Amino acid sequence: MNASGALLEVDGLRVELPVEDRMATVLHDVSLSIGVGEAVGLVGESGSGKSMTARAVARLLPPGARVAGEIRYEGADVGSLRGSGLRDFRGEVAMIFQDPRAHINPVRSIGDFMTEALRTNRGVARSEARSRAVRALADVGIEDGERRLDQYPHELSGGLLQRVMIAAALLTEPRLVLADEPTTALDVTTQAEVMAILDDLRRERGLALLFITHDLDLAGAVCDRTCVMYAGRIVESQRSADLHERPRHPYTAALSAARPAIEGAVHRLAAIRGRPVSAFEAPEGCAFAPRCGFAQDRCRARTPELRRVDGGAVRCVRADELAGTLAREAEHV
Amino acid sequence: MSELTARAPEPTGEPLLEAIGLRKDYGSVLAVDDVDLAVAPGGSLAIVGESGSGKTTIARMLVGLTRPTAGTIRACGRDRSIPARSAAERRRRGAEVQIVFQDPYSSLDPRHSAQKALDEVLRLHGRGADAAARRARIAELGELVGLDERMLRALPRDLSGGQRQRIAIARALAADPRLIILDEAVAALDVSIQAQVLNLLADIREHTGVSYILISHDLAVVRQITEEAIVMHRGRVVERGRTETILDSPQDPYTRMLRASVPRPGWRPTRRAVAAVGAEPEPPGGTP
Repeated sequence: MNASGALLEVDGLRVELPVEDRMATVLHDVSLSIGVGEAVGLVGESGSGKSMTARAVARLLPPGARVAGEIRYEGADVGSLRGSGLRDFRGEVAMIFQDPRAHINPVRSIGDFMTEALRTNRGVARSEARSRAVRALADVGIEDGERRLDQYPHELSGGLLQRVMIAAALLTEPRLVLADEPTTALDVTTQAEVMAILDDLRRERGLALLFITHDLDLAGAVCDRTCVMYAGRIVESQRSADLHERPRHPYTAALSAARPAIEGAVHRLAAIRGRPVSAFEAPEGCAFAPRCGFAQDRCRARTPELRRVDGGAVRCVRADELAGTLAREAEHV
Repeated sequence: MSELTARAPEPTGEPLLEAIGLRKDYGSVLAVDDVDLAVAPGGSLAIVGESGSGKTTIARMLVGLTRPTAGTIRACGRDRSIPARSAAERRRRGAEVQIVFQDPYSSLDPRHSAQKALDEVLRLHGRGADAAARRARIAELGELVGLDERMLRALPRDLSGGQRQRIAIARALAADPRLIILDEAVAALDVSIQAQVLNLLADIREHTGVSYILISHDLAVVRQITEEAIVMHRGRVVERGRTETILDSPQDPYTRMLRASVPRPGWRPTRRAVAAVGAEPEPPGGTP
């Protein structure tokens, strides 16, 4: 364990990817930390860099990616892990994806898929691996595990298959789970079930969770802290409970206001003009400025720093003066 | 906007579209079971449900992509329960009821600009006497959905998801329909873009008097743009009524569970929410 007590620390992460003939920056100066057993949400729209952040942590970036900054797991530099060190890291840090069907071999049985890592990396015997897999399936609410192990992915619904993916991720007894929109492709009642499973596992096993989603309310419900990303940068991080009531960044407030409410229709939704941009399309200065109702000349002049504020951090030069306004707007949402 | 603004909602009475006893079997699977629904002229009806509820099968039957096993469908005063026999009849039906799908990536021809796609619809339905009239109409449609000249000339691959969905909406409007079926039409959009498109849909209805049937699993979106709703579960209607009444005081256990599953401030996910209705295995191959 390192001095700060964090399980995962990301410090000044910058990622460039080859796009056509040049390198395009997709992440700028991303810093976050996750403590043992802590759940941190990463919320943003298309191109915000939320998935890329998780992929960088998991060392699953596309070929040709250039990475700067530091990612430390239990104090060790993740970028320099090789061989058995990297294998151990992959056992401790599991990833769950949005579309389970895209990440499972369709011609191999659920049993083969679930037990492969245990048998090849850990030398666990086949029968032992199967009984562990059945227990893991029971942990995620699948009671007839023996039967499921002999089935193939196409025989399972999306919700069941996502539960299988979570069970498989748990088999190596990870301490950190990176969940990239794990419920976005699921029905809302199935989403509630899968989220409850993740939440229970976290409490029972002290799992840490990096939860990536486009849904502020969903992140708020299961995460201790939430980071909001825009155009490859974290623009705000706070305790999830405070994020909803006292957003610090105009983008966070705008995102809350734009979403229709189940409690009642409004005459017009507070749409955000323009569209979300990726880091490499972003203009000089604050990337959100062209869409922001509060932007001034100084916002466009240079990129704001991520400043520590009471209980969190915000990347907006007007954050202090706007605090009251944004909180009042949030009350009406 | 001449063609679009001229039409005022008709006097109440006959529904614009009405389906009675709608049923669809796929072999031994009953996808849609005895469903009645109606949309008033200028009205907006939500069909709410999850995967496997039958909501998309209903949409396909209403536009004539799937033939019902039983039941009748009447739109604009004419029966459309059986497939159109002639090209002219198909066109006439197409001019009355249009559909916008969820995925603007797969529902647009990648080789056609918005301009070309709209021109094709206008010609097919005989809207616009000559090329100049059609060009003027395309510009009008572009303005209505917020697409500028450059975007109208671009190919789909050079446009964002929100822009593509605007093209799909403009294309549906080009036929000057009485009813547009929105099949999860805003589900794939980013939150900030979704709000723009929902406002746009409300504006279009106000300006043109067009009716909507919104197929959706998203209760907040349903609340924002519909007045009436039916809730589907396993092919059957389990609840129907005013959208706000259904969402504020759901009566059916399934509707209550659906309502309770929506994340909101202070919400905690529970496993019980699902178990309450029955822990029967899910059907295979379901994708929401």
